[in-house]
Amino acid sequence: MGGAGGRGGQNAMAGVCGAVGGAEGAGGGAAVGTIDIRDLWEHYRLYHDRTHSLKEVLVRFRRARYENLWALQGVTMRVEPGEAVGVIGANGSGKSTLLKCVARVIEPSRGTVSVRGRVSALLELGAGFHPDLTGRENVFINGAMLGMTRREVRARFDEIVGFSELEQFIDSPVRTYSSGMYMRLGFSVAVHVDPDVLLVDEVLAVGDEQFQAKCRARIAAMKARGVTILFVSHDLPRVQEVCDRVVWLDRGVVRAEGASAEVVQEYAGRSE
Amino acid sequence: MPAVCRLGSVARGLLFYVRGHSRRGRASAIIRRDDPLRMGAPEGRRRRGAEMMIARLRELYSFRELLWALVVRELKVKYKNSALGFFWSLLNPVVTMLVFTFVFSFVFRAGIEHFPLFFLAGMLPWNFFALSLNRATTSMIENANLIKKVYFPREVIPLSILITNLINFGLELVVLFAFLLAWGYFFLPYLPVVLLAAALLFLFTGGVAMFLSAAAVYFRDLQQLVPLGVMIWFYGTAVIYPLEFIPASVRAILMYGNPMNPLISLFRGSLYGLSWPKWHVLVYCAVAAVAAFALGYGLFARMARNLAKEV
Ligand SMILES: Nc1ncnc2c1ncn2[C@@H]1O[C@H](COP(=O)(O)OP(=O)(O)OP(=O)(O)O)[C@@H](O)[C@H]1O
Ligand SMILES: [Mg+2]
Repeated sequence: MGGAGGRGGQNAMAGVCGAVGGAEGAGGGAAVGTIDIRDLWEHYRLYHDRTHSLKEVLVRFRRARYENLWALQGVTMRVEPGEAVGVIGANGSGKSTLLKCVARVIEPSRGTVSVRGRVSALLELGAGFHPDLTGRENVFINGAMLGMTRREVRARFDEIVGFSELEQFIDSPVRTYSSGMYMRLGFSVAVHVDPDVLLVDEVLAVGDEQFQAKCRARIAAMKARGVTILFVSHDLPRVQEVCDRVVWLDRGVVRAEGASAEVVQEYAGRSE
Repeated sequence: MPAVCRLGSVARGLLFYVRGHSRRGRASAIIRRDDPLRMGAPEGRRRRGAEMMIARLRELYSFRELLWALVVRELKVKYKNSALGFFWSLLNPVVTMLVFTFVFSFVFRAGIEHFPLFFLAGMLPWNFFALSLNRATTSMIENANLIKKVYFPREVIPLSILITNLINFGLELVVLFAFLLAWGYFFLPYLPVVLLAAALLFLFTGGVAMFLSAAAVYFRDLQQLVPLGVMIWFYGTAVIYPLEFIPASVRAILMYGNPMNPLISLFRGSLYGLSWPKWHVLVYCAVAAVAAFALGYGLFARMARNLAKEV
């Protein structure tokens, strides 16, 4: 698949995870595109009156004033290759935290996350774009951030720019872009990573009506190609449209899990 | 000496905080994660430190394209909108040199032969050190958005700054080489020493810079303190004056208490002094550089784990 010609980066990481995951008795070497989350706990430090200052540290470094906020409390879920799973829940229920753990941006406090294959995370569009650099230069930098080699970016460059429909502006600094154009370019790079696993966190409301339709079509095409998708959104109809299965997170725990329509309906009709 | 005591307790506080930090993290959770790169994980503790380091470096190597992309970004942004481009980075040492030449030849009459060359041979390596430290300290905070949203080995950020500055330093050295040859300083036989000194300077600076880049996320005051500290460090380093001007009793303390002194003496000794370094100076520099790098990287690795949550 996409990983065949790929280089180290995510692939190497996935190999490591897979090996250990298998040893734990997951049935020896899960297939590429599997996400396996077991008893995942994640906490942040919630600082009361955070000063970040040296004085603070020195005066009371033994009793730094924070409490642990457990954003995820024992989440277990498994996504099979080619499956599209939605994650829904109220604000602050831990959806983004879950995706960050899968993307390795943060490390679990407890439990395991193993992902096989190349991951592309749409947690943020245009990560690392520099306003003074041109669209062309930024595509290369952003591509490198998402784990593409220069060669890969060069090979897909026309496709990326074509998708964003920004041919005319590609050699202008991105500070001259409108916010929609900026997002378009970021989205185009991210979906051309050719991943095995795609993580989407509420970034589909990109650009105008026409471009949004294009994004949805692109996601559907990736799904058809067998890319595993973990999809976070508050747009329930969209979640139903994209996902085979939905997980409802409530204050860090899985409250319901099952067929999209059922869980979405349950969530929509929740009492409190 | 209350001031010294205070400094000592500051240092101890910092260390305590860093260590306590990770120890608490370990105690509070049974971490099982399929990742040999995690330093300090329970099963990791049994692994040898060297093994962890190799795994980490191997992963870093697989992200070399990103590292390079960030270096190119730094360089492009720096020189993008200026007609003179790279020459701006030469302007700073040249102007400083002119000022000090004036001060030393007319005001103090220090009587140093070819003062500009003497000065540049020390100032260029110092500039590399100082600029790297100052930029690295703010680098993680500046890239907070990236760190929170994208996975990559965090050392890529300070390393990209170090490499950018190293490239600038190299270009400035080439200019200095041209000046030296024009003034009849035939330094070419000593070039290997200069290259070795540059490598050691890179390691030493890298260790300090990596530590500061991660520490500044936890102690934001470092953003203000580091430029101040660097300035004080500057006057404790023989850059604008020769070390021989310092009374012999204090000289040894300066030479061995501040690794920047022997490091700069390697550059100056070979380029301006046209002489071979003493063995013990070379050994001292090597030990200090490797130790600083290992310690800085080690502390960095501990602090980097929670960076995305704290930045
Ligand atoms: N960097 C952080 N530091 C401290 N607490 C955090 C941090 N990031 C998230 N949290 C906390 O963790 C909890 C879960 O946050 P998360 O971003 O995962 O929610 P979410 O489900 O994505 O919400 P939303 O629907 O608003 O995007 C929240 O209570 C939030 O306050
Ligand atoms: Mg969120």
